[in-house]
Amino acid sequence: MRGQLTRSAALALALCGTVGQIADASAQQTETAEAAEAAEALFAEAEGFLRRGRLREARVGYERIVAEFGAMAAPAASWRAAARVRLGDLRWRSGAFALAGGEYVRVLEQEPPSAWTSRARLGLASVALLDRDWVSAADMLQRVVTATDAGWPEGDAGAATDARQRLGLIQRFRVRPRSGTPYWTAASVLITPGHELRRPIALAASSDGQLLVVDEGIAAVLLIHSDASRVSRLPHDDHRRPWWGFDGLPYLPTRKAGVIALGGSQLRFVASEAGRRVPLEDLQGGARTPEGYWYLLDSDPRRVLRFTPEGEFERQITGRDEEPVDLVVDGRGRLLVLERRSDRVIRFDADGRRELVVVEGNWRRPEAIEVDGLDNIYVLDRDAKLIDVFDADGKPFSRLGPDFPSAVQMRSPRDLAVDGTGRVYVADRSASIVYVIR
Amino acid sequence: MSRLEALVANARRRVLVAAVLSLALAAIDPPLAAAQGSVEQLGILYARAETMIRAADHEGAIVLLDRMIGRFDAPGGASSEALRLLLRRGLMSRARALWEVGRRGEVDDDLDQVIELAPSYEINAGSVSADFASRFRRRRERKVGFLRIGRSPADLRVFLDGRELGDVPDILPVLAGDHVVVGRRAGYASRREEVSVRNNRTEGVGLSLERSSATLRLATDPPGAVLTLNGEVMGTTRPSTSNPATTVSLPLTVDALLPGWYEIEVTLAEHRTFRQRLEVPDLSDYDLGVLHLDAALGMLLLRGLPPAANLYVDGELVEPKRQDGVSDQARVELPVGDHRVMVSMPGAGVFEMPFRLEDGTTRSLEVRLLPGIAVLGARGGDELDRDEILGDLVSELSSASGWYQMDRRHRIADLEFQDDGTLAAAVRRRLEEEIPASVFVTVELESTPATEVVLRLWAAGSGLSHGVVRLPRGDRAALTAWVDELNAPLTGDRAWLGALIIDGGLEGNAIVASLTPNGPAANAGLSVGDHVLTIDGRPIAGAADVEEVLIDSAPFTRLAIGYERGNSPGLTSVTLGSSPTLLTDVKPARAVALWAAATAALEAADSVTPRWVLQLQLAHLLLEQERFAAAVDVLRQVRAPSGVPFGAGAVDYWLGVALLAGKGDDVQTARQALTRAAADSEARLIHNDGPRLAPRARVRLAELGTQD
Repeated sequence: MRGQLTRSAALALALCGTVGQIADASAQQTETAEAAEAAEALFAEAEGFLRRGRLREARVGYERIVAEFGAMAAPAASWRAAARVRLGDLRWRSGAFALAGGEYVRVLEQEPPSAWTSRARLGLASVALLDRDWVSAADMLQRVVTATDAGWPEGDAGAATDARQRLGLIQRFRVRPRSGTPYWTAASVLITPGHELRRPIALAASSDGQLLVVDEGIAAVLLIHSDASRVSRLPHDDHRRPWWGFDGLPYLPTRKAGVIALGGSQLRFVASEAGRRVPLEDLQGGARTPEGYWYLLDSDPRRVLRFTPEGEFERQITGRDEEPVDLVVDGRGRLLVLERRSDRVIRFDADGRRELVVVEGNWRRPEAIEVDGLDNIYVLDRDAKLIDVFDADGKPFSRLGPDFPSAVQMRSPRDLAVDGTGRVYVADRSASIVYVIR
Repeated sequence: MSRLEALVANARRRVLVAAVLSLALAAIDPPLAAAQGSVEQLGILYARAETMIRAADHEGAIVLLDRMIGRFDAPGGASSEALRLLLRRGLMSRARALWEVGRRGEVDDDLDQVIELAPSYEINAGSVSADFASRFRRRRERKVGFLRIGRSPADLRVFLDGRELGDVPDILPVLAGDHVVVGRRAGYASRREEVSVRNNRTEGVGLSLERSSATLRLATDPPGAVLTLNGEVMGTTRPSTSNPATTVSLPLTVDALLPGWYEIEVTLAEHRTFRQRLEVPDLSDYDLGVLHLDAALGMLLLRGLPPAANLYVDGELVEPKRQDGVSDQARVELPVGDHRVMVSMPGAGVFEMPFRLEDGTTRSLEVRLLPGIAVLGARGGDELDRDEILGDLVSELSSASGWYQMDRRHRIADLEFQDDGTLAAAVRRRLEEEIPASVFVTVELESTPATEVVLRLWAAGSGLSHGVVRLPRGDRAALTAWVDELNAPLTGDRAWLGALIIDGGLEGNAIVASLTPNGPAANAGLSVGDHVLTIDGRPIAGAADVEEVLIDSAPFTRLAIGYERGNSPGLTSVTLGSSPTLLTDVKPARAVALWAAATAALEAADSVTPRWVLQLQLAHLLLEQERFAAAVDVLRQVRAPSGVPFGAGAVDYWLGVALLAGKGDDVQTARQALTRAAADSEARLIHNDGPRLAPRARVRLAELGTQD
């Protein structure tokens, strides 16, 4: 090297060391165009399986693209990269994190730059976070954001949004402590323009900060967009605890109508007891794993039931002597059940097998549980008006309440939610308020 | 008609009958007939005739001699002394044969011709009968008289009737009649005398020459030298004709010199010039003898000559004298004049330079090997298209400062291409042995007239895939852009901040999330959590702005960074570091050029890019083309620095990847390499601020564990 890199070369290098080529076309242009069409068709088919939840068929389709178009140059390569990212995601969903990471790494090292590069970085950042290598994760996430902001070929707006949220989490929980800043520095009251909250009792937050508030006072569910500038009201008098799924949809369990996927279908679940089919009613809550398995919190009796992605009853996973009050699935597909009778958080693996008691609490009335993108565990103690925060291993590291920063005080907290950047939302029924702890 | 031609004509007329027999002989002896006129063939005829005479076959001898003598009718057929001698002998032998067979009347004609050819010829009485000898003497007395030539000076040259006499006897037999005698000598005025000689009488003639000028005589070793006197060319010394083995020329004599001073200069190309100032005091002969001209030599001093390089001077392989076994300096003694030196090292590059050497001087050249790019020619299309496109290509490549353009466009003529437009490996190897280029280019025109130009490139000795470049026909800008890319920096130093800046969005964006220990940002006092607000006064809205500043900044630039820590503003000055950079995701055409440039830089003494970076770059090119075994071979040689973000960790990582991908049996080494890479949380790929490699290494290790 003599002198400095050219600006265009350096721009590309900044991200992944790519130097653009001019007029450097493949000798097999025609063949690759045909191959690209074939790869695209296969990919579309696999995507269809994925959307319908037929993960095994989807995986076979993606694997076929990688196998059959392994030696092809662009544009077939972009489909191959896409298939690899999807394979990584599917392996992640099934808990095969190392194999998922392998697919992401191969996209980064063997595929030409594309939007899928950002998706692969996002996936690999998740693997790094599993390994608690938050610096590497932040490094990769920031590259996704920078590529998108700078308009580079591998930029991807959706991936950048995800990356920003995780960067927010990293900033909150990894950077702030190192600079002596509290995890949460301020609290405020959620503004819901045009809609007054009366008795908010449950809520759920999407990773990008959308909020679903169940208000029994107005017999409605409010969907509040990220910047709180827009609020949608859905009539609803069946007051249960909603959750936001990995598929990006909010789910609302009901007493009479099963589970409603907002903006989508209504799902009814039937358990099997001693050979009897028992329709589930009065569902208190639920969660769904990245692979699509359902966990539903039944109220009578208090128990957690597991259903297949297709909605078939599998088994009850909580014991008769346990009193589950809330549940949540973490980023690795593990189920966390808040059990009131013995003040514990019990963890089940991605297959629903009981793993361990991850948190032994000493709460007055544990009411709700939540996890964030780093798998930190939040438990709301309704009577103590406290939120205890534990890391993924159950080690306590913070407590919120009863007074929040900015001198806001909880009165009757009933539910909590955490968004993608670690903002905590608390529904306070008596105060008619949803607190936002930033 | 000369006297000799008249004699020949006479002899031929007399043998018309014999000629018929000669034709018959020629029919059965074609080689002899075809060789008509040559001394050798005439000598053979003469020898056969003599054998017949000795065997008393006089009639047969006469037939042969008639044929022989008849052949002197060829133009200039008896112009040489040798032919004249043969003719005389033939005539004398025929006279003897005719005498023996009793054809006495025809004998006198032959004897007269003998006497006219050689008036001084004396018959050997012992070899012929006394009667025949007596008859010859009588005939001679009738036709020959004698000349006594007086000479002064004694070494003058005597010409009789225009023919120079060699040794001049005191009494010279000549044909009776009028003769012209001329005396000549350098430095003297010539003299001409006419004399009438009667048979059997002696006439005297005096040739006393008068001195008219001085002379200068010299010979040179070697011949071919030009003699000038006072700037005027006097002549060139000529090689000896009598003794081809000698290196000494024939003497060159300069006449017509008047007394005075003369600047003598004897010059010969590639030899040292002889110069002398000479006084000619009087009209005498001056002999300089033999001038031995020394070869004029100069010294070519080559600096930076790699030990393994081949050196060619004017196309010849030369073994230079090195100062010692490992020195990169070498000397070559060469004749003066214009030369062209070429240094080549397979794969590494070429250096070529014309130069001129003066006598006794040393010309110093700094060898800088550049990768050679050989244009082998074009195929397809029509000739006009090919010529024009090749002309543009060669011209454009000549402007590439990082390359040595080797125009070998003729070489394509006898090459056979494979169906995919490439050359077979064996052909490529042969070309690589023949032409010391690093990159070879063939041009393909797929239609007439060509609308697109396809360049196919391969890198010598790399095993990398062919690179293909397609350029629109006539788009000079595209060609220039391609050459610019070819000429683009091999790799480069990049400004290094040593900080991870993230857009967390909580306290705004551009938050310092992590600092490389002892990196520029850490050394400048930045801390984790600092919110970067400005750089050199420019507002920073996010990490992308910081990245942009880094890209625009040269290594070692000082940047003023304004930040907020807690609620307090701060300002610090960061001196950016410098980081080598690896090029990745390189397409085949660029890979070919990159390979050649990196290989050449590895051998170059002045390469600014660290050796380990070049090796890693080569290995990475191989990896990208899935040549894992070759990549492993290269990676095992890399000695990268540790303690820096981009260094040993990257080499470990790629070695592990290559070993695993190559599916060799050295899984243990791969595991060790990846384990080392995974353990270094600061290790980066590509450059010091590049992606961290630990997550990738962990994934690879985990996959390895899964396979186990």
